[in-house]
Amino acid sequence: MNNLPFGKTWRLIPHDPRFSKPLRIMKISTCLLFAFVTGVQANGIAQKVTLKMKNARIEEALNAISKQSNLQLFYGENIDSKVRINVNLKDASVAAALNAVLKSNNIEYKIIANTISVNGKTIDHGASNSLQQTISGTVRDKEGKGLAGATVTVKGSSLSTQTDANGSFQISALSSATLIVRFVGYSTIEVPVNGRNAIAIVLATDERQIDEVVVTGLGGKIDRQNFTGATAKVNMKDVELGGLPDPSRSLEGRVAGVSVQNTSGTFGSAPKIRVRGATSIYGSSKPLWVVDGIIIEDVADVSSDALSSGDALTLISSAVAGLNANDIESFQVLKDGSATSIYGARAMGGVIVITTKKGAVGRNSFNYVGEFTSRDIPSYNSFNIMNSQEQMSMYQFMNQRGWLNLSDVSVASESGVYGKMYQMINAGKLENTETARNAYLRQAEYRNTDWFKELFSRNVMQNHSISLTSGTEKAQYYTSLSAINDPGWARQSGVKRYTAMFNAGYNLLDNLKLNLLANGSYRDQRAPGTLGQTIDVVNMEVKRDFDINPYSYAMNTSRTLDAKESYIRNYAPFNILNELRNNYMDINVGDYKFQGELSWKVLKQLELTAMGALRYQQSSQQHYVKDYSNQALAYRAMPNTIIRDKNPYLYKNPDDPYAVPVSVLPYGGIYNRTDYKMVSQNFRFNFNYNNTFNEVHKLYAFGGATVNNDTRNNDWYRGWGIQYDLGEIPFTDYHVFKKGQEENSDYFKVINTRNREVAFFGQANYTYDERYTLNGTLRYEGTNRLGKSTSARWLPTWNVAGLWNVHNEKFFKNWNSPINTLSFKASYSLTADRGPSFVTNSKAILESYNPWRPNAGDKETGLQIKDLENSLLTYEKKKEFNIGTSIGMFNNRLAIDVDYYTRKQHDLIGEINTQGLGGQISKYGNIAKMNSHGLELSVAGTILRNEDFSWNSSFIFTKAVNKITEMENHKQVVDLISGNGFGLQGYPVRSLFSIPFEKLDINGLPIFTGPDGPTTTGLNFQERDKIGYLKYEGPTEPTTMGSFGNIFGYKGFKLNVFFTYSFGNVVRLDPVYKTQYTDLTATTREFWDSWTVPGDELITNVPVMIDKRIVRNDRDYKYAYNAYNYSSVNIAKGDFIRLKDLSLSYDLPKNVVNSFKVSSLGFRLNVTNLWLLYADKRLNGQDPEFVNSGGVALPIPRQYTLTVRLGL
Amino acid sequence: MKTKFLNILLLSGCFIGFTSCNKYLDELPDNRAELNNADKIGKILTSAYPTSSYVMTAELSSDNVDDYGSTNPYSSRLSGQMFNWSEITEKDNDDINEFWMASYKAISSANAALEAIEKAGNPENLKPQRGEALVARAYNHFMLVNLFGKHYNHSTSKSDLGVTYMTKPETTLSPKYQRNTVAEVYDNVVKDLEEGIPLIDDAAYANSATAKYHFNKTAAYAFAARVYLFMGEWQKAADYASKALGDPAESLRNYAQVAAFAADQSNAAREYNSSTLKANFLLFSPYSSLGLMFGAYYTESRYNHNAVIARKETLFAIAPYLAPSNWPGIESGTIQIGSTNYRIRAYVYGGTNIDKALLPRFPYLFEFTDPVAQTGFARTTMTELTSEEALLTRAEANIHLKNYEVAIQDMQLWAGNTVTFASKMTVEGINNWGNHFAYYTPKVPTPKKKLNNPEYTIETGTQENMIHAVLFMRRIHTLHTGLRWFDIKRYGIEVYRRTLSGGTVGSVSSDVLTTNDNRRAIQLPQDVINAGLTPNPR
Repeated sequence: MNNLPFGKTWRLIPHDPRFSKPLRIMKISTCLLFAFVTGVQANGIAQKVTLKMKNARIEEALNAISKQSNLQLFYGENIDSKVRINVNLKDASVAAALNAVLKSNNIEYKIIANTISVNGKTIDHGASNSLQQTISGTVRDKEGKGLAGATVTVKGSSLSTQTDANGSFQISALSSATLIVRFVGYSTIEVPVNGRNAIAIVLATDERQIDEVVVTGLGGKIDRQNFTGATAKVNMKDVELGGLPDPSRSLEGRVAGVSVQNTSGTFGSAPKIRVRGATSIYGSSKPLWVVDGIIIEDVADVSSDALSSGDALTLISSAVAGLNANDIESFQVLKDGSATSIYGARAMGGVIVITTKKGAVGRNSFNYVGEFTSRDIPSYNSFNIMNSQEQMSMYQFMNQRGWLNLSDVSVASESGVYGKMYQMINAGKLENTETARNAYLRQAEYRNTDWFKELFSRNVMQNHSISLTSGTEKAQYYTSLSAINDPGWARQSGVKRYTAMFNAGYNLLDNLKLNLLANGSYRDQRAPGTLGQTIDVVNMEVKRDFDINPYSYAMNTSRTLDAKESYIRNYAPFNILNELRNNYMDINVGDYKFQGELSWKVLKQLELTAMGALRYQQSSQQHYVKDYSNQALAYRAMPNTIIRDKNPYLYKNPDDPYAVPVSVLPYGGIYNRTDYKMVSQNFRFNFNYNNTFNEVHKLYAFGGATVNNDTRNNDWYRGWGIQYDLGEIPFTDYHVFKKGQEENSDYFKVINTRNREVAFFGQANYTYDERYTLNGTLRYEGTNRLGKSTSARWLPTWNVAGLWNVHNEKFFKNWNSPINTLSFKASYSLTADRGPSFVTNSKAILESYNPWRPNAGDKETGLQIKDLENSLLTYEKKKEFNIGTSIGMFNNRLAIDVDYYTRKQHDLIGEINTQGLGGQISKYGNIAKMNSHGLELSVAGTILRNEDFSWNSSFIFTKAVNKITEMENHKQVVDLISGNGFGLQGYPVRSLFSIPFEKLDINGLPIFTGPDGPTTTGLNFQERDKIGYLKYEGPTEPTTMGSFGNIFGYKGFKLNVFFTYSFGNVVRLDPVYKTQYTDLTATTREFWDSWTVPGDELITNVPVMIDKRIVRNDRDYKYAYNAYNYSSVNIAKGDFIRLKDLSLSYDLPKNVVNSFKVSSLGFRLNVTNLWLLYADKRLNGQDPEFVNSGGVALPIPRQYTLTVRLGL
Repeated sequence: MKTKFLNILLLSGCFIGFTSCNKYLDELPDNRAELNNADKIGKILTSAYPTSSYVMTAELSSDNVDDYGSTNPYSSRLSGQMFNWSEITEKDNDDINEFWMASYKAISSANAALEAIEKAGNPENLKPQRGEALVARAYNHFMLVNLFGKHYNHSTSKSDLGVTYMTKPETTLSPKYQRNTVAEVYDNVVKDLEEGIPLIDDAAYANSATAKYHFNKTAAYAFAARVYLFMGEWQKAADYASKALGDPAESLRNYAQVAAFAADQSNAAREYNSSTLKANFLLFSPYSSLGLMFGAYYTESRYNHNAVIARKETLFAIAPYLAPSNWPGIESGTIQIGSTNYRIRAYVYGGTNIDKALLPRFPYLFEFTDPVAQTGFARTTMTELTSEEALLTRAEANIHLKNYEVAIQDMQLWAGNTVTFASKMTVEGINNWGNHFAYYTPKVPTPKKKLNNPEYTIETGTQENMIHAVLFMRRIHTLHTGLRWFDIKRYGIEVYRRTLSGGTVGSVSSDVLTTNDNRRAIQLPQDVINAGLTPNPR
């Protein structure tokens, strides 16, 4: 277990339910409410207490008072618990009530900071020794906050006192005495006085002393001491990153075993999260998100690989983007099979359980958090891109090689300054003389446009969030509202998000509790218009048509262009600023959840819970391609016959042998709309049984059943010819439909999917004498995902685990070592996953299709067998063995957690060659195997601590490696060398391969080692069989990662320095090499090193900027240059060390704050992504985490956030 | 007490839960279809036809092509393997792997439909679908066994390796099968065919254009004629051909419609395969680059139908319907049959590294997956069953039945509709024509090749000459479409591999495809053999 001492958990002293009579409580709560309204709630003495008891024990009476007055109760020692009392009070003050209960029994009480502390009366020894002195001191927590109400006792005597509201105390003791300091939730420590007058005492939180539970999310609550699985808990307040509103990003580097890769930083897109690495070869290996006991289903299935695609769908890929980070109390990450097996087939990729904040009895507060974030504009200085002067000289060089001449450029699909110049010459606006041309080009040479400045801004993102907590014995509330207004870092990337949360707990009866929760969020986001990413497998190009992503535009566009001018793209005029105004997407996401939970404590040991939840999520993406956007104009660009015949967006009627190309979009623009809708219903029933027999046998049993029903709907629609400028009237040319039919493309789609699931689960946990624990879990579940096949439908998963709490052994207690807690655990589990979403053919899958036919008149629809039946299809299975230990040392100042696991996975979905007599030679089935193992280490400790200064440090290390041990390869070369790569037998799950580059030949052309020896153009990117020649580069997912965090505290100041690191993966560099460059492209300075004259091949690897004549003679050189882009030269390591977060916070002292009539006020300034300490130089300043795929993908910028926290 | 009650409640809850769960989970997860009504069963038969073709393999294995020589760079490893009767390991849309999968996939669709009809209790309203499914299943197995097995005969077919006859959809991941013998496959084909033909109803198809992409009644008859022709059941072949043809003059190809598009070879080919032509019985639109290979492109010009073959054996050779007065002129080269003597015209491309003599059979069409990158799949259309084939099948059957006059009528009809120079044919004229030639040798090629099938009793003289004549016509009609390969297999014709040199026969390979050569059965796809199916003997 990773008990990271990130925070403490408060617990109220349990009260005896026999006294809570409903009617009386009502009065008190009315009174309380009044007190709250008038703002004097802090003073408990103002409460009225009604008490009528006969022959009651003192504790009972005190509990009743505590409950009615909402004051906490704290017992000291020396209370005679056997004394019986009689009281009869009505509307008495708390003080009077306490006096009545305690006065005759030699017991003292104090009311400090909402806490009644009760102690046996100090007996005056009379013999006050001359060595006795008054000692003053403070008791603080690790963060330096004074602890009010802590008990300080002189060891061996009954002398005792309590700290005041600031944590200060005074006590008389001998200078040789030892003080014992106790406080709920903190470990008790003994401090020798050693003759000092002033003593600063810092208490460490002690999770062991509070009966903390591990929330596994399905209603089970198990004592952390007896929890056998590998898990880690982090509190939101310790990990939150200012200015990153998506809470999933804050997990980066915080939990051992969890990797978070920010492949895109755009709001709404999920980071790539892996718990203990990949668990499936074709599947997505994504962790399961559980919020307040409800599994958060994704509205659309976005595979892990697609997260870095930059497609519009990624904007709704984050499961928790609708959650306000300030509403989150904690994350609990369940890592091994022992912890996750209760989730069965969903949890092979780990589980992240989010618990939101709840109201608490007696705590009334109002909190405001405001965040103001400004993001740095990227600078060309950090990248290796040519400035306009260098670029222009490259163009001149290209010009010499036969490129950029008038006849080509004036009818080119893309052109920049040269194209503009020729246009002006043709239009008679520029003299066609060398002087005039040079003058024109000189302007461009000196232009040095800063595209980043044009497209990015430092606009301030604001995030305001208010929350209210209140609670009485009868009902507790937590409510919050938040609003984000982000005008956008890049143009057209603004976000507005509003969230609301209402969480109420009602104690209907003493043993019946109702919890109601409603949570909603609405998001309104703008993004640059984008189409999907496609891979041209023939030429090996990953591309996106009409891409206007501001970041990749700035990175790839020549600085010689004038930001105010239009140049040519897709044969039509193009200006990025104009295009972003006219081609954009609006994304609206609404996410609402209603949840109710009824718990009935049937017996003291048995609790039954029924829970129901409904979640509705809808998102719509409206992509506007307006009349004068380049994308619309490209569909009608035919200024002359040459372009008319070249423009691929025009349509040529195949029925007419003499047809000339015509536009299918003569007027207006395009309207694309994609909707995703999901209704998910969830019902669960479970029981919790917790009992201890004979004081040493502790049994915990938990079980239940759950039913899920998710209905998803996905609509896609493309409207042609909508005239945005003419009141949005559509004018659709009929050719669109004819063309669509001939190309077999649809203009709308509806996809409905239904997911149903039923599961039964149970867990038993037996502990002997708090030393030995044995745990077993079983889950039996069924889903409809595999169709009507009943054979594949049901799946059992299970685990067994054991735990040995060594520190509870006698020999350990007698052993005087710095280690104060020590436990070992081991678990073995079988868990499973349903496998990739496209393999569901336990019954044959028939799909409708439109067979390709040469003429529109021959068309018909049909059904075809998409997948043959595989009656033996089953779940992907994982066997996991986990061992771990937790060590606490030096009074828990140092906590070490280590886990090691090894996994054997079988029945993984892979491809297999069959005899093909069903019509498919290559099929998917449960044939692959994989092994993985990993080590997780987290060390947290207090390095320095004194009265004013503290230094806490934490180090997290994760190693996770995997290897496919059995699988046939059916992937093409293109899949193995691009993007995330793909696994082969003997290699990790996502491995990247390269085409081995040999050398440049004497003409400066690259030579590769192909399957049949050296070759320049003879590579087939679609080859599946002869792939042995490819060079293995490494996995694309890091194998080693973690963080190093330091928190320095000085009085109210806190400085947080947080580093993350990641090693072991490789990154494919941007494919920049081409046979032909336009005068639009920006090139890196590496092009200076390109081969120019024979002999250069000995000193450079950068191929020749090829002569136009050569390309014209052999178009196959395209293959060579694309192969070069994916060769062993064009790759870098993904390793990095990053100063992820640097923050300085300051909490104003209480006395200052109170004078403003507020209870707390704090400021924090943090800088995220400040400094990349180490990264491969070949990346040229690119963020190794970020995948620059265009579309809607943006990196996480360096950003500065000011956070204001105000409590009332 | 309380707990007991709870236990009972829990247990009964679980029980009810379990039993109702299966029903709850029966809801289909997505929009996958189930074959539960006539419409859907009809729709699945749209996919009961192969989307890849055997044509390239069969055509390049036949004597319709020569090697231009290794100096011609326009070839691929795949076409080289096909030409040299090697094992085909290269992968492409036209490889045998694709054909194997496409055929068996079509069979799976047919089987799925048949299973669903069976389940519905064979109702009356599903009879047309049942008929189509049976015939489609028979067709796919028939083409598979003819490509991957030896030719059918009465003596060895009972032991010759055929293909597995699939009668049920595959239900497990990687089942292992045994190959049926050629005879068994033929038995099943005949059984399915005879059962299916009467059930077919053209009215069950959406319209007359789409009916051409299914086994309509005419197509089914034409296919049956092909099956019985291959089996040597001459009378049945002739009968079915007659049924397919009706009045043959009516169903002849309307070349006027095609000729309007003659300016462009690909357009002409597209029109040749138009669904509006009555002569086209069954159309396919496979993934294939045949449109490039047999089109106006350099692509694959190394192994192609060239001018040497065209002049000596096919398009421009002395035809039985060419007036004998022209024969000397053709032989001396003073007279040449021109491209335009063919009613849709032949296309002849000559030059450095290109020597193609083509009829417009395959258009080069393209299914774009990405119109901007201009990538996608090469497609073509082809007519699998034509009225001309049925006509010549009837003629051939009648020759075997010694009804020479009847046969000549059909041959005359074909010739008159195909070329502009057809003169009147007589038995005597054909005898003259046949006797005019010596048997073919690779160096001195003639249209007359030795017929070596011992099963066929062919009288020398008239009958043999008539068969040479009808095979000549079949060869022209089925040029590029691969059917010549099956004629070669049927008659045991030997095939030589020649390399051209300067427009004449340069060298002849010593590797000859003899009458009983095992390579007449194309080797199974490598993946299939690796997965455990018995390979053909080599």
